[in-house]
Amino acid sequence: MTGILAAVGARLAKTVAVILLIATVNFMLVHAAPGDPALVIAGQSGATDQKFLDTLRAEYGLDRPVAVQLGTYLGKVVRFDLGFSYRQQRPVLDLILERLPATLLLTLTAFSLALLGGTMLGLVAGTRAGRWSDTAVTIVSLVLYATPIFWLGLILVLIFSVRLGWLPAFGYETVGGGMTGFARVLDILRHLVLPAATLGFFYLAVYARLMRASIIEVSHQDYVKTARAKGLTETQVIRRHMLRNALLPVITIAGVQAGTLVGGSIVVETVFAWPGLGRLIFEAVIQRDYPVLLGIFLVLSILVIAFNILTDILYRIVDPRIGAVR
Amino acid sequence: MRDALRAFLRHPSGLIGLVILLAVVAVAILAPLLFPDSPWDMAGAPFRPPLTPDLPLGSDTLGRNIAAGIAHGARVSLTIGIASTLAALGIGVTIGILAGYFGGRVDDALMRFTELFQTIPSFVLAVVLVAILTPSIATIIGTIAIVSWPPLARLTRAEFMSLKTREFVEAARCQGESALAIVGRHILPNALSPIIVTGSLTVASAILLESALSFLGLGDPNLMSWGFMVGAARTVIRQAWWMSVFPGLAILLTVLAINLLGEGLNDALNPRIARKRG
Amino acid sequence: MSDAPLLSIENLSLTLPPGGDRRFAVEDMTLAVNPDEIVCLVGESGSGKSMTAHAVLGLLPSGVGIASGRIRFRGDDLTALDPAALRRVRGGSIAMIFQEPLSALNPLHRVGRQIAESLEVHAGGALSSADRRARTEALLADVGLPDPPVLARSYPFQLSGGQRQRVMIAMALANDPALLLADEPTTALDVTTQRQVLDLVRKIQRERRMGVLFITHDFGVVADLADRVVVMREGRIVEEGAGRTVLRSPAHPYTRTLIEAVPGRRPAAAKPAAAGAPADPILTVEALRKTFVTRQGLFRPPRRVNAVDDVSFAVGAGETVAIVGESGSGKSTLGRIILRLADPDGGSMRFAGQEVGTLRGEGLRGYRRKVQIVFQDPFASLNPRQKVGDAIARGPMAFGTPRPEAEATARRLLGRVGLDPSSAGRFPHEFSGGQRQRIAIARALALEPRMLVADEAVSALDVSVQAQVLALLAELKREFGLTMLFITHDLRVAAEIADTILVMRRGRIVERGTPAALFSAPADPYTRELLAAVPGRDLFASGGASA
Repeated sequence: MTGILAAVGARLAKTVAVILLIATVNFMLVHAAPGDPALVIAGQSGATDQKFLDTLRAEYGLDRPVAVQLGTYLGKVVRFDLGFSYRQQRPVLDLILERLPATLLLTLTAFSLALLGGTMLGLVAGTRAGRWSDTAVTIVSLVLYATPIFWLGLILVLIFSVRLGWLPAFGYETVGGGMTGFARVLDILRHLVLPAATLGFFYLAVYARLMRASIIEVSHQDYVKTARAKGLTETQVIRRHMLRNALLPVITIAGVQAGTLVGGSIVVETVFAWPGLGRLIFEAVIQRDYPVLLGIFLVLSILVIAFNILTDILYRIVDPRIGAVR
Repeated sequence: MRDALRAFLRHPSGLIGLVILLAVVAVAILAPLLFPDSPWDMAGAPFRPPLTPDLPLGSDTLGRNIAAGIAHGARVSLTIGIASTLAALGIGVTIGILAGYFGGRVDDALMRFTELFQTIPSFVLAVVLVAILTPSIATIIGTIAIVSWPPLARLTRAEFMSLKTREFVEAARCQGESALAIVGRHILPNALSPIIVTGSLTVASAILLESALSFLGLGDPNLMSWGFMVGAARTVIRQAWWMSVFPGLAILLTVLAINLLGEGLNDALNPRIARKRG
Repeated sequence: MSDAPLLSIENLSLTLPPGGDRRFAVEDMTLAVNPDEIVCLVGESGSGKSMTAHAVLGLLPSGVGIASGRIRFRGDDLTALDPAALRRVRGGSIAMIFQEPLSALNPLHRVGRQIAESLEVHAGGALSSADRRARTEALLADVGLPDPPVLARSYPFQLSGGQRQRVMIAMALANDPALLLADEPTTALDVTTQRQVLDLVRKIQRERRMGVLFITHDFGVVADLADRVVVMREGRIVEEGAGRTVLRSPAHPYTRTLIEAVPGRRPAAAKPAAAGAPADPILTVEALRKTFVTRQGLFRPPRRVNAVDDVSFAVGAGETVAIVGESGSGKSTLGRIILRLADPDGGSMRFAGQEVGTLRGEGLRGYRRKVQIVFQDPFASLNPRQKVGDAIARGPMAFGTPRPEAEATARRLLGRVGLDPSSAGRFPHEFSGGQRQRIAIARALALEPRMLVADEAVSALDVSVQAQVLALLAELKREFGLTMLFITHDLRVAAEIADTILVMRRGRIVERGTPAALFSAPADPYTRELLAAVPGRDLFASGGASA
C-alpha cells in the first residue's frame, strides 16, 4: 500500500515539474518571437492600444530582469491565470474551459475506438499472418497510416454527408434544434461519428500494425510453446497466453503517441467545425491571438500528461509485475 | 551489402514504394519543364472539372491548373520532408550519441529534456512556433525538425547503450583504441541501419506534418503546396470534389511510398528479425 | 523392461526449410523409450536432438515438417492424430519441459494458475477449483518447493531459476504423464541447481515409473541419468546402447571424441605447485571491493550488491589461475576490474610492481596493452562490420605500429591459431563459433600481452570445440610465456587448465588451492557442494572410459 502511495506521490511531483517546465517553454516562446514581448502577449489586434500595452508591461514585469519575468509568469500559471485575450475581450482560461469538454469528448472517443479496433484488427492479422485477412488488414492500415487526417475527414464528409446524406458534416449539435435530454445526446453522438472516425482511423492503423507485430513476436515465445504442450486449444493459447502479453508494447506506444493524438484533434476540429480547443487554436492562429495560443498549448500539454497517466494505469492493469512485491 | 540488396528485392512492397517515390521525384524535378508557368497563375476558367482540355485534373476556384499545383507542390513536400529530417537527424543523433555513450548524469539530463519534448503535443508546438515565427520555408523546416527529433534521439541512445557494452566494443577499449575510433569504427556503423530506417519514416511524417500546417494556412505563402490546395478547396467540396481529392491523393501516395520503402529497407538492413524465425 | 515400448520413433525424417546447410534436421531416425526408463539423447548443437523431441508432440517450428516415418505412442501413430486427439496427449499422457524456465513460463500469470490450467484443460469440469488448488499445491510440494500456498501465488520473475524449473516440472506432472520429454532442462542453470534438478528428475521418474526422453549435450549428465544413450550427429544416430556400456566403451569414433572432450577427464599434469603465495607475483590484488547500487525509485532505499567483497590474491608470472564461481559470484566483475573495464571501489591492484587500480589516460592504455581479454561469446566479441584481419591489426596500430607491419602480424597470428592467413580479409559471420574464438585469441595476442584474461572463453562452445580451444590456449601460454587468469563456472574446465583454483561465492573467495588438493580434500562446504554437483563425477573421476 505504501508502495502505491509512494508511486502516486512520485508521479504527482513529476507531473507538476513537467507542467512548470512546459510553462517555461511557453515563456521562452513569447520571448523567441520577434519584437516586443508586450506586442506578442497583446496579440496583433491589441498592439495599437498603447494603454493596454502599458498595463501588460506592468503586469508581466516586462521591464524587469528575465528571471523575475519568468517567476511572475510561472506564478500566474500556478494561480491558473493564463492571461487575457484582447481580441475576444475575455480571460483565456474561460475561453479554454468553455471549449475543453468538446475536445475531451472527441479525443477520448477516438482514442478508445482506435485502441479497441486497432488491437482487434492487429490480433486478427497477427494470428493469421500470411493469410488473406492479414494481407487485407496490412494493406488497409498501411493506407490509413499514410493518409493526411484533414483529407480523410473531407473524403468521409464527401461520402457520408454529401453523397449519402447519413451524417451531419460539421458542428457539435444541430443549431436551433432545441433538443433536450436523450434526443440531444443522440444528436451530439451523430455529430461525433465522422470527426471521431477521422481522428481515430489513423491511430487505428498505428495500433493495428503494432499489435500485429507484437502478436507475431509473442507467438515465438517459449511460454506459448509451453501452453501448446499443455494441450490448450489454439483459441485458449491466444486468449490466455498471447493477448495480454502482446498488448503491453501497444499500450506503451499509445502513451508515447498521446501527444500526436491531441495534436491531430486540432486539424479534425478545423475540418468539422467542432467547437473544441483545436477550433479555438485555428481562430487564434488566424487572428495572431498569442495569449490564447499559448494558453491552449499549455492546457493541451497537460491533457497529454493525463493521457500518459491513463495509459500507465492501463499498463498496470495488464501487467501484474509492476507493483508486485518481490 | 549485396545480401541487403537481395533482401530488399525479395520484398515487392519495398520495390513498389521505390517506384512510386521515383515517379514523385521525377515529377518534382521536371515540374518547371512540364508546367513552365507559375502554379499561381490563372490557366483557364475556374471550377473546370478534370479531363478538361489543358486541365487534366481540372481547375480551382481561381482557375489555377491543379495538375501544375500538384507538380510544383511535390518540390515543396519533398524539400521540406528531406531537409527537416536531416535537421532532426542532426539534433537527435547528436543528443542520442552523447546520452548513450556517456551515460550517467549526461544521459539523465538529456533524456529528461527529450521526455519533455515528447510530452509536449508536437503538432500544437509546431502550430504555435510557426505562428509566432511567421511562416516561411525556413521556419517550417526548423519547426518540423524541432518536433521530430525526440524519437531519433531515443533510438540512437538505445542503440549506443546496448552496443557500448557489447564485447567487441570492450575488446576495442582493451586494444587501446581511442574513444573517437570506438564510436566511429565500432558503435556508429552498427547503429546506422535502424537510424536510416527510422529516418526514412521521419521523412514521411514530416511531409504529413507540413501538409497539415499548410492546410491550416501556416504554409510558406509563396510556395504552392499540397496541404494548402486542400485547405483552400475544402469550403467548396460540395461543388468541386476534385480540388481537394487530387492534392490529398498526392500526399497519400508519396507518404505511402516512403513508408513502403522504409519497411523494405528495414527488412533488408535489419535481417535479425527475419533470421530469428529461420 | 516391459516388451512394448512406450514411445517408438520409426524411420523419422524431418525436413528443414530450403536454403539451409542441409536438407534434413533429422534423417531416418529410429528410437524407442520404454516405461520406467530414462533415455538420454545426446549431441552437439545442430544435431537435431531437440527437433526430435518437438516432433513427438507436433510442436515443430514453422518450416520444419515430417517428411516420412512414424511416431508411435502406446501403439498409436501421433503423426496421424487429429488436432483434438493430439491436444489430449499433450500435457496429458506426454508432458514436456524446456531449457529456459524463465521464458517457458508466462510472465503475466501466477505460477499456480499456470499449473492449474494444465489440470483444467485435461480434467475438464471433473475438478472443482478448490480441487485444482489442492492438487496444484500438492504438486508444488512434490517437486520440493517450500510453502506451496505462497509459491502458487508468485509470478515467475519472483522465483529463482531452479524454482522456475521445478514449477515447470510440477506443471508437466499435473496429469500423471507416462512419458516426459525434457529438452536440455538444466543447461541454463547453475551447477548446484542443475544437480538438484537432475536428482529431482531421477526421483520422480523412479516414483512414477515414467519413461523419460532426456535431451542433453553433456556426457556428465548422461553418466548421472541414463539407462540408455542415443548419440546423434547431424541428424543421424551414430550410436545407441545401455548407459554404462556406451560411456565406458564407446563403439563409434565420434562418441569416443565427445567423451574424450569432456573437461576434467585429462587430469592436469601434476605440477609442484606452491599452495602459498607465488614467489614472483605479476599481479597482486589486495582487499579489492566493488559494490553495485541500484536505485529503486524515489522513496525506496537503494539495493546494494557487494559484487566483489574484500578479495585478495596473487598470480605468479607464468601461472594459470582459474576463478570458479556460479552466476552472481562476482567472478566476471572481478575480471572486468582487473582489465579496468570497471573501476574498483576500494583496495589495491599491482601489476608488475605498479599500482594499476587508479591509472588514467595514457597510463591506463599502457597497462591495457599488457593485459588482454578473450570473451565468452564469440558471436558478440567481434564487430560484425569489421574484417577480422583489421580487428587484429587495430590494437598494434593504436600503439603506433605502421599498418603494413600490423597487418603482417595479423596474418601471422591467424596462421598461428590454426586459421588460413588469407582469411584476414573476411568478415566474422563467415566463421564458425570455434573459429571466431580463435580469431579473438589472435586479437588478444597481437599486442604481445604479458597476461591473458579468459572470461568463460570456452563456455559457449560445443564440447569437442571446447577441448580444441583449451588445448590451443595451453600451447600459446607456453609459447608466449603468458600468465593466464581463467574465469569459469565449470570446475572441470578449471581443473584441466589451472595451476591454482580460486572458488568465489557472493563476492568473496571461499577457498584456494591446486586442482588436486581442491578435488581430493575440499575444505569449504561450498566447494564440497560444487564438487558434488559436477555431473558425472563418479564416472570421470575413476577415469573409467577406455579410449
